[in-house]
Amino acid sequence: MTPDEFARESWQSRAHVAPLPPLEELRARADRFRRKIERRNWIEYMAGAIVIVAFLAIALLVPLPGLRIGSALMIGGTGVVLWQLHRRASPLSPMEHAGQFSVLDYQRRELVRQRDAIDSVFTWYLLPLIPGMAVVMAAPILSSPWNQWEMPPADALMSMGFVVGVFAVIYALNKWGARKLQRQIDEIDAMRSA
Amino acid sequence: MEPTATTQNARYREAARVYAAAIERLARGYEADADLARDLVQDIHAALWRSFAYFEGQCSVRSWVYRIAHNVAVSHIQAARRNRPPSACCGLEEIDQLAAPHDIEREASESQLASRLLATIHRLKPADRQVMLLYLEELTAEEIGEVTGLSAGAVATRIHRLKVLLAEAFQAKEIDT
Repeated sequence: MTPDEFARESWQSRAHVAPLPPLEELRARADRFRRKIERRNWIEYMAGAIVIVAFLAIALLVPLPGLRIGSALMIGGTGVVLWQLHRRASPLSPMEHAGQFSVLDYQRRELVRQRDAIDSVFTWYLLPLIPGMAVVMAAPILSSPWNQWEMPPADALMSMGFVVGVFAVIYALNKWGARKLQRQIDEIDAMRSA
Repeated sequence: MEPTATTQNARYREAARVYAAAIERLARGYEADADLARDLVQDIHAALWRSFAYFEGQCSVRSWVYRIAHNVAVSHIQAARRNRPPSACCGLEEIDQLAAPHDIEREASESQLASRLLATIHRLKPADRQVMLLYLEELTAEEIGEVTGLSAGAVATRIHRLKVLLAEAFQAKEIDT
């Protein structure tokens, strides 16, 4: 017996096979996975809906025209973000795709999907919100005639700076994440072509 | 044409009958914790059953089953890594000899070589682990490439290294006995 045959025989003799799970149990497990994805989507849509309702309330109740316009833009921007979340590809499903792709292809497709989503975060996530956010922040100034415009007080400037900072950090973190994912994709490409 | 539920169930039952033992071994190769390995086996079976609704002969049933099993296992490991610190992995080229098993008492009743193989598998990087698991299940180099996505050259290099390791272990065993 060759070392290969001996190793394979030893390895395969280890099998301790539990009884096969009933089909009902497998169906329940498969459904659990589907429900997990649905729940995650639902949470994202709910968060968007809360933002829309909040800005709708501001647009209807606050008398400042600048704030009303800004809120309307925020509602539109949030709608765009939700639509983008919806239209962007969902994660690969092991049930549907795991048999169709080799391990490296499966991993690569998922990494590319994630990389594309976070690499373009400015275009589809930040940009739609920027006009509304800018108008909301400038609403107090926009409410006065243009020849009476003044430099906002320091605390207002700090608030604006904070919002701009949050957007910048979101952008930078996503770009950093995209570079990390790209390195993993490059490693996979190297293994596929080695 | 989409397979009916009956066809899906029949295909799953047949595949599960043929590959159940290999799936159990594969799960133990990915997951050292026995309870989590059992859970992984169930996840693989669930994915396998559901996957036969999409099977249209894209590849052999054997490749299909191993692709499902390895893809689910890799996802399982990636999810587990988020909850527990990863253990250091290495490549086949960095291993001088098969690992010694950790649990000495168990070795009295189990095949020592199989335990050393399992201990070695647990130390390997994912791609090397997949090649070793598939090689031990007697898949050809071509089939291993089809399941893993590694190039033919990459598979051949890993198999060569694996054969050297096995030959060394075999020689050492003969000297011991």
